[in-house]
Amino acid sequence: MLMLLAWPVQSWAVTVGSKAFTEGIILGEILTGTLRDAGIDTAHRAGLGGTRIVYEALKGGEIDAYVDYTGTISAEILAGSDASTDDTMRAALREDGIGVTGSLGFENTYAIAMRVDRARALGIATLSDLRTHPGLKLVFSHEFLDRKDGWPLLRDRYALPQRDARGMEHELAYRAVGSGAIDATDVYTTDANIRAYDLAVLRDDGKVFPEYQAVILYRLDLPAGAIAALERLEGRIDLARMQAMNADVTLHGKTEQVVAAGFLRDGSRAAPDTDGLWRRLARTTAEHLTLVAISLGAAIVVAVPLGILAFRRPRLGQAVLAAAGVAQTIPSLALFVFMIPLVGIGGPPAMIALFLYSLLPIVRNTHAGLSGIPASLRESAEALGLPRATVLRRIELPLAAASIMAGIKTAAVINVGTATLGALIGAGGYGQPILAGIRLADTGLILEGAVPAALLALATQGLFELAERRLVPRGLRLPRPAPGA
Amino acid sequence: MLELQGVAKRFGEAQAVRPLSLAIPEGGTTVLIGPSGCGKSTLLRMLIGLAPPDQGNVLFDGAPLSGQLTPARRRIGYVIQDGGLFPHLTARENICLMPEHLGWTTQAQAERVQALAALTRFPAARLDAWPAELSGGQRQRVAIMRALALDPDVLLLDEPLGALDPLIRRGLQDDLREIFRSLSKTIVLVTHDMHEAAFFGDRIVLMRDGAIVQQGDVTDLLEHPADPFVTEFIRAQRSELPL
Repeated sequence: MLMLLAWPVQSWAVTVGSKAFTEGIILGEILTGTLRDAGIDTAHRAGLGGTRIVYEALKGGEIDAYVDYTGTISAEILAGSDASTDDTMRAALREDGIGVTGSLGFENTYAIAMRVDRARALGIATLSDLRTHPGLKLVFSHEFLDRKDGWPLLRDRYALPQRDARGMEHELAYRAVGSGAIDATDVYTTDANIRAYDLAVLRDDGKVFPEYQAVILYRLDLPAGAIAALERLEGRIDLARMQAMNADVTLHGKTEQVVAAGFLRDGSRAAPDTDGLWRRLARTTAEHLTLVAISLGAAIVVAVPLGILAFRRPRLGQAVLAAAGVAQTIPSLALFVFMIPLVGIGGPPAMIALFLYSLLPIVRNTHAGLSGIPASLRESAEALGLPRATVLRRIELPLAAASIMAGIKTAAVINVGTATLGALIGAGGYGQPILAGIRLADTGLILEGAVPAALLALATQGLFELAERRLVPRGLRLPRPAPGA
Repeated sequence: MLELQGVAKRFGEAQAVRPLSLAIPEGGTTVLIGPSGCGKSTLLRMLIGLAPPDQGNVLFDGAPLSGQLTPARRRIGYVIQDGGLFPHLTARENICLMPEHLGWTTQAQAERVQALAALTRFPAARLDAWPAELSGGQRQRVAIMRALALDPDVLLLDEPLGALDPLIRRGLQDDLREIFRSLSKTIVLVTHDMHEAAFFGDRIVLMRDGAIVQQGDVTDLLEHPADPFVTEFIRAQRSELPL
């Protein structure tokens, strides 16, 4: 655990954050470039996940500024307090130590879209038309499905009959609606995919969706110069410009950095990320290995003694095994979000989550390996007059070695796979190209993360099998003799 | 040397040993015999503290065993039916577990192993083999060497020949008696085989249902049976008796 504290913390004057979607990242790059142009040393922690994660990171000082939307702020962040007007919203944010700029110049509101031909065939043009087609297959992004100003609000206000709406990763939902696999999904009005997939945006005839003006949220303790630089972005980006920038990334394969640099024009210091494939691969590999090595190492150090304890004290043992089992069932994203107020974003929360997930297989196999030692061997050891600690070291642990190693191997392989989710909270690793690839519908980028992750899992498996051969005593690998032979 | 005073042991519903007393004199071989489930193994396990009695006392050298468990165990060797060898240690490592733990020099350990191998007629070339590579008879000889490593005063054996083929059994039986005679230690041996009891035992303790039915030498049991069960038990195995 001590090693977690030594996670390298780079010191930047200002850290910009962004949510994990194209527009969020482009705007994050624009904020970063703007601050750098103003002579402020700035880093960008891109693609950090959903609203909760990014806002908690802002509140906790992990990041200093990011772009959000007024509708999201009032319905999600300030839910429960009065944020009906600009002034009350500003006052409510101030209590968290957060300031807000005016609109950047465009609104990115939620809308529901269908394929043009399908909408025309069913005669659907407005949201209230959905009421007459209860059998429609609706799939929404997870965030829209859950948030109060999303699907629940829409369903209640329009009294919609569809009850089995499902959640899906947003970019996948676009592809599904484009291919006709589903009927409708949520879209952002600035989204380039609307044109790309030939979708019709249904009119919000009941005026249900609140305003979603893009604004910058920033920490009030930022230097005045930084705040002034951010405020200069007010009114600078209109809807057409935003759509065009989104299209450049999602449809024309440019990176967010290049698009943002284009916006900032000459003199910009938002140097596009020009790392080559091998450079990127080396970085993601190093990040991934660090996540796995530290979390797995800590898990081994903690779980093997826990397994021994569980074996020695059967009643306590049941509690230990149950607790490790419960940790296993917490969804990783939920665990990440719990962790942010405690340890921030980046490597540490991901490592703690991976550490917790690695405990169960090791504890369970240590316990099983020790319990599986025949009573006759245990009693022979006891009758010799060896002290308890020596019996454990010389007899019990070697006899349980095969089982313990199998547990560690299982934990390691699971760990390598789960570590890809660390990218959601800025921990880097192979998850980063995978997430970016899904976002940009770029299969090459997905493979850039998925292939090394799979290879690493195989290599881990092989490595532990080698270690098993070295650590499991040779006498245990011989075929068992027939009794009395 | 060893004494049981009013000991009893219950495993759940089953009364394994009813309250009984038994003194085991120094030197000589005492055989505990009886049908399976009669409590003879439990009695043996009491003598080395693996099955503490629910009531009564186990005395070793006149003092309660429970108060001197670790030192006493180093003066008592214990051998079980399948040998109880640790499969991850070679024959030599099994034998030297305790000497090594007590800090004997490598030289002293090697000499002790050499002497024990000669005593038990174990081929010296097989000393570095794994238990899985040894025959059943060889494994049992290693188990006896391990029990004798610290030159204990007492040797307890629980059906030491029980798992062996008849032929191997006969060979080890002869060797075992030789070993017992040459060592002149206090031996307690558990068996269900009357032939074995008569072969080894200076004194036989016949048990049934957790109680002692009769104790004495084999002639006593034959000529002055304390109970019809004694005659019945002996007669059932008579054809095998070498009398």
